[in-house]
Amino acid sequence: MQIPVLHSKKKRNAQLLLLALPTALVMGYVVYVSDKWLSVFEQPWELQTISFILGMATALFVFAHRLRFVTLTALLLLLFAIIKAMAQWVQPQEFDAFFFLVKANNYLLLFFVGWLAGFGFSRNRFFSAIWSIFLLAIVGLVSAFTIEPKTINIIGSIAPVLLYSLYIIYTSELIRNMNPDQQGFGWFVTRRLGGFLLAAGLIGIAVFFFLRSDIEYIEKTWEKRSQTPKEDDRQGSLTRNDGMGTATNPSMGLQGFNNRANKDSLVFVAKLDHFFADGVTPNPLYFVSDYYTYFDTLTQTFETDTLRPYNDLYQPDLTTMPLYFNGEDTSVLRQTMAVRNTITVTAEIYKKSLSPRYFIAPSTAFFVQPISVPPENKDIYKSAYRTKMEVSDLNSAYFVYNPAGDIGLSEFQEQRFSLLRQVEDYQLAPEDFMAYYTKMPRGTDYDSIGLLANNIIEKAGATAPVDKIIAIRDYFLATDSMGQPTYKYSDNPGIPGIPSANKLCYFLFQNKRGYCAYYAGATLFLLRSLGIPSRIATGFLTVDRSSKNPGWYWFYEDQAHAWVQAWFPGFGWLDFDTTVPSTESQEAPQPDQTPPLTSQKAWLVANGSIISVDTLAGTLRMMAKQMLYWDNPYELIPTQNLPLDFSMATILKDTGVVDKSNLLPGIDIVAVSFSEQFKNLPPKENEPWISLLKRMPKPLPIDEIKIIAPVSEDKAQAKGSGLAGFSWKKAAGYILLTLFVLGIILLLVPISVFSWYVFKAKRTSPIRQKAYYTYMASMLYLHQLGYKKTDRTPLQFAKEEIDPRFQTHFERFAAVYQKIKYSRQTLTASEEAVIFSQQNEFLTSVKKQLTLKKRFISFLNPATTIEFFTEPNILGSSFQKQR
Amino acid sequence: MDVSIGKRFTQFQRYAMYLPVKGYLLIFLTGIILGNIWLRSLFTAEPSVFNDVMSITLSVIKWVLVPFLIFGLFSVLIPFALFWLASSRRKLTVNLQSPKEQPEGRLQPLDFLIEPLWQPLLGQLYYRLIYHKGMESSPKFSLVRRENSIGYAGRTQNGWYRWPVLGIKEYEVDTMIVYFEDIFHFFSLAIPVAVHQSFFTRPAMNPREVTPISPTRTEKDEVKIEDWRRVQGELFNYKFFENNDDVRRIVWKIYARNKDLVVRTPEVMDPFASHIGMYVSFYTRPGFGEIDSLMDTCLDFYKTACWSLYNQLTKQELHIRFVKDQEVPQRNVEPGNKWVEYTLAVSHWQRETSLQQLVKPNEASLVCISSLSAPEDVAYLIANGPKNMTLALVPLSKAIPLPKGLKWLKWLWVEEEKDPIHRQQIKWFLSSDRKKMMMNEEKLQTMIDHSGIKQISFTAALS
Repeated sequence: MQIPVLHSKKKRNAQLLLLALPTALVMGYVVYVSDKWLSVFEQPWELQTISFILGMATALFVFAHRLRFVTLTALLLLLFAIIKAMAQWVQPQEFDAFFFLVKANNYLLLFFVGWLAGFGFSRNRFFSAIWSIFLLAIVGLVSAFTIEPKTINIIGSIAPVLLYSLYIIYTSELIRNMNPDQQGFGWFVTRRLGGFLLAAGLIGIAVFFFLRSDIEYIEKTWEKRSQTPKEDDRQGSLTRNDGMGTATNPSMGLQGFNNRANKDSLVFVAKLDHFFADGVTPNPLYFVSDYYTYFDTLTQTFETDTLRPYNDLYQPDLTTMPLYFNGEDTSVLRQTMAVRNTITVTAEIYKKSLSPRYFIAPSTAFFVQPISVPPENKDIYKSAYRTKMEVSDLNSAYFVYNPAGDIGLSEFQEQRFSLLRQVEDYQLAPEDFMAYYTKMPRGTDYDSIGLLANNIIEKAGATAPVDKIIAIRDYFLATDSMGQPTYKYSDNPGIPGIPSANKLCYFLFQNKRGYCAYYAGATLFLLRSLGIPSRIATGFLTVDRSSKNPGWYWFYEDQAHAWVQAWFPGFGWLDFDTTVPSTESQEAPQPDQTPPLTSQKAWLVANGSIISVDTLAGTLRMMAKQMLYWDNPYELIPTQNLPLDFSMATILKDTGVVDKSNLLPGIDIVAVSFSEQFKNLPPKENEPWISLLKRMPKPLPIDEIKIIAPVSEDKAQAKGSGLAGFSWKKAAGYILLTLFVLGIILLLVPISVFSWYVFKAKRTSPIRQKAYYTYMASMLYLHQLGYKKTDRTPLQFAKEEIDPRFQTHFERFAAVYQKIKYSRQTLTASEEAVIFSQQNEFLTSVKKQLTLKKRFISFLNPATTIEFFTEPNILGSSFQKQR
Repeated sequence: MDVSIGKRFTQFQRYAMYLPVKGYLLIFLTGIILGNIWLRSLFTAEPSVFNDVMSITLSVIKWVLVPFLIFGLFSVLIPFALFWLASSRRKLTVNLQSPKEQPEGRLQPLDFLIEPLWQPLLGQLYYRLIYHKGMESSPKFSLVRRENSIGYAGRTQNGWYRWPVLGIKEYEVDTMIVYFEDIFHFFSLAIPVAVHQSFFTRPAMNPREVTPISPTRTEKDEVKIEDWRRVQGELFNYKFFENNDDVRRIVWKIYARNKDLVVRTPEVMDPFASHIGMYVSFYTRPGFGEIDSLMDTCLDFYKTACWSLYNQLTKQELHIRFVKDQEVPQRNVEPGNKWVEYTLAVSHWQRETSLQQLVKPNEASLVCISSLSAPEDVAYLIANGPKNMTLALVPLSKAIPLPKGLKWLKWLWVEEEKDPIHRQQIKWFLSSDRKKMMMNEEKLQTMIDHSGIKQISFTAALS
């Protein structure tokens, strides 16, 4: 069977040279930058690119013939399946086969992408547009995650791919329209590409100059932000900024101690009122931000879940809470089901770069009170809150740390373990709780994890749940025959978030290098496969480095962490850290700084909204709803109109100190006073708020005003939805509105065009042009009403159809018009009169004989209008050729 | 190469040809918007490097694309406006020509010369021909430029195009649409230009052996009498001029001599069998469906069969008198083979002139009939025609071959060129006309077989 050829050799070579070669170069670049970002690509980028090139070149050769895509692709996939099956057959050891498969999958995937690209370039004309947008989006995404915000980096990362995207759209169309009969195609293409590059270059330079100030602004902004206030001289701090910014990342901790986390960048400080029995030795606790509990089969990874059962996570939105007013949710305490060894602890958190919205505290927090930052620390700390939590004795960080061979620590931790050995099984645990927190996906990969977990506990001879956890922790600490650790800490960065199941398998069985999220994720799989209820906690690792200020802890970006919590009946959720130590993280303990000690007391706090502001005088009127006076809460019913003097006050937003101009009528504020006047005015016992207010000086002296952010629906959605801020309803509404407007415009086209001709016919003075517009108006009117000239001459049309039908003198006018059109003779007075009288007379006669309904409906059809202008036979004279 | 053959198009398609933007732009913009939505959805709620870098990246993309789109739009608007001005001021030269000698096969060469017409900067010009009074259109095509044509920035477009035409018929092109497309083929501004050009496609030839056919046409040979002699009272072989006589036949020598206006009467020779009278009937008996594209394919098949037969007979140096059954447009075509070829090319199925009306029984030596012919006509012909008459029944059931058993194996691997025949196969297979036609064909064949009349059988497909 001879296979017919689709593309000539010339065309195929052009595809290879002009499409495949640049695509290979760009793809090499994309793989190179993606490798930096995605730790799963641990093979050399050159080999991966070659794999892609092979796929693309093969497809270009194959599809230059008339071969069927579906059949060949099915055959290719079959071949892939055979290769995989053979690998498993040749490699009897299950894990080795798995390693090979991970590698093979990577290369085969790239080969397949190349194959699809080759097919697209060869056969599908729309492919180049889709492909270029795809590459552009990927490179944009990778760049935004990985590059430092510098002009050269931003331009350098996007310009080549943008140029390629435009080039590939242009060139693929050029080649598609290439005629094999055309001589000198090479020179033609060279000339065209030269022109394209010139145009692209000019536009590129213009755009760069146009956006230069924006890019430089970003560069300067982030340069400034990444410097710590007192340590500007530290070298290299700028290069260690994390792309996502720990401060703003809700999944904090999941980047691990990678080299992107900034060791010098302070996130927050905390005063934790938790000490050992001596009352002096600080007892640190891990700070929790969120829990990853739900396995999403779609993304094959663990995710946070707001609907999780037995939810014990307290998550207030601090930006919407007034200063000094309390928020509390004790229901979370019941959800932990912890009754043993628990105590209530308080903490004060001062946030520097941590988002004002996020609440972070040791588990299990149930109370929060936003507080003021002392004035002397306002330039460093943006906001603060006080919190209370019910913590377990057994969650001391010294119990949680991975001892990694530290004998002293191991012995200390034995106290905890011996207590936990009392728990032998989970028979008393609620069923739905167990079902949710031990849920484990099914499949070959997960079964191999289960197998590994069983091997580990069998070797360790562990029976109690806690011993199983210790066995798993020790498994990660094991060394090989050479004394080298089997699992190592790797700062190789990855996508923030819990690694997917594939990556965790790759980590467990092959690579054995990763950061905290890998260890936590892998531990979770192992624990759940053993039926131990567990979840991943993300937040901050607490290190006690303070000698001068006991109970104060400093949290830097590189302390962002992920670990595992296992549940024990009676004891609740307990922290376990299985991450092997990173030598890097222990190298540079941070020196103590002065803690933000509060030296003043807020005597009066009023919560309400602004009625009016006089910025010059520094006074405003406020409609107060609530009041705290000497720590006593008062509900002001009805609301009270209070005059405030804010001339000496600091105005704050969540982001820090702001200008007075931000105080606008209608916005919600909290006014705080530390004034001595109030100190000297204590409330009497059971004194009602009305009499209190009467006694207070007017206007009320205020030292601090905090602007409260309104509760936004968008923000609430932004946490969960993949398309944050994008409302499909709104978009659909806009689309419908646009379609409606377009529809109306389209319907108005016939009458608009006709009216324009009528208008021109009336207003134009030169007789020839007047005749032209009159003729066009008449012809369009007739055409729209369904009287079409078709291929008759205007005279025939007038004589045979129009005049008999409407009793008009259209033929007389058509004759005069023909004379104007084809001769240079001047018109007689009577002929001119025909032109002048035509419009009104003619249109009136036609109108009289057709109903309004018929005319109205006919003029709603834009297709007829388009036909009038596009049919050469109808217009007749507009586009005549001249011989 | 896009080999979509000229086709009838709907009202919608007719307007769609003038849309100023192409689907390519819509796909591109949709992709850009979706990409933009997706990337923006990844923005963090608070200020971050990611947000800033992504924002600036999206800005760069936007500000590079917008000038390119504006450039593309202007690059087509300017030549479009110039062309429109030239055409409205009647300063346009459009020269569309087909070679006098029509080539065989499906590719019809056409020469173009259009002036003034500038190509959009970095863009491309495309054309489309509309024929059959705006009812059908050619594919959109670009010209292959002539080597000696004026260069890149030239105002003249001089080149040629091979139009893949299928139907054997006359093509009367009445409009040419000129498309101005930009650098990325996002915009496509169209202007219709009236042109007048017609050409016909030649039927293909299938060489085959033909049974010797007896000439039956009896011709009276006219012989001019050169010598004259006077016989008393009257002239032998001459007669006096009457009102209806041709004045050119007046013998002026006689007039000069005796003032008698006489005309020569030709000498009548004995009649003899001189020519083959070839009758080709395009008559279709009532009962078949409307003449749609399936019938067009059958028509081409029939024309090819008849033309091949005619050619074989002429190669045997026989005098053939071709008799048509319908009026054809009067064109400047040489008489003889060229005329027959043209007549066949422009003929179509008809229901006006039946076989009985067409064929003079005593003159017919070869009668071509199709599977659509009426059996009663053929029966009449058999009964009344000369004994040495030959009948050629062209089996139209072979016009659209049905897929063979193992063809699916090839189909599985090879994507065939898009040929209307392939598209028609299933339609044909399911058509009710097919069954009727096959029954009619069988009936005709049986009649001919039983009559004992000589016949030419077309066993192999003649496509």
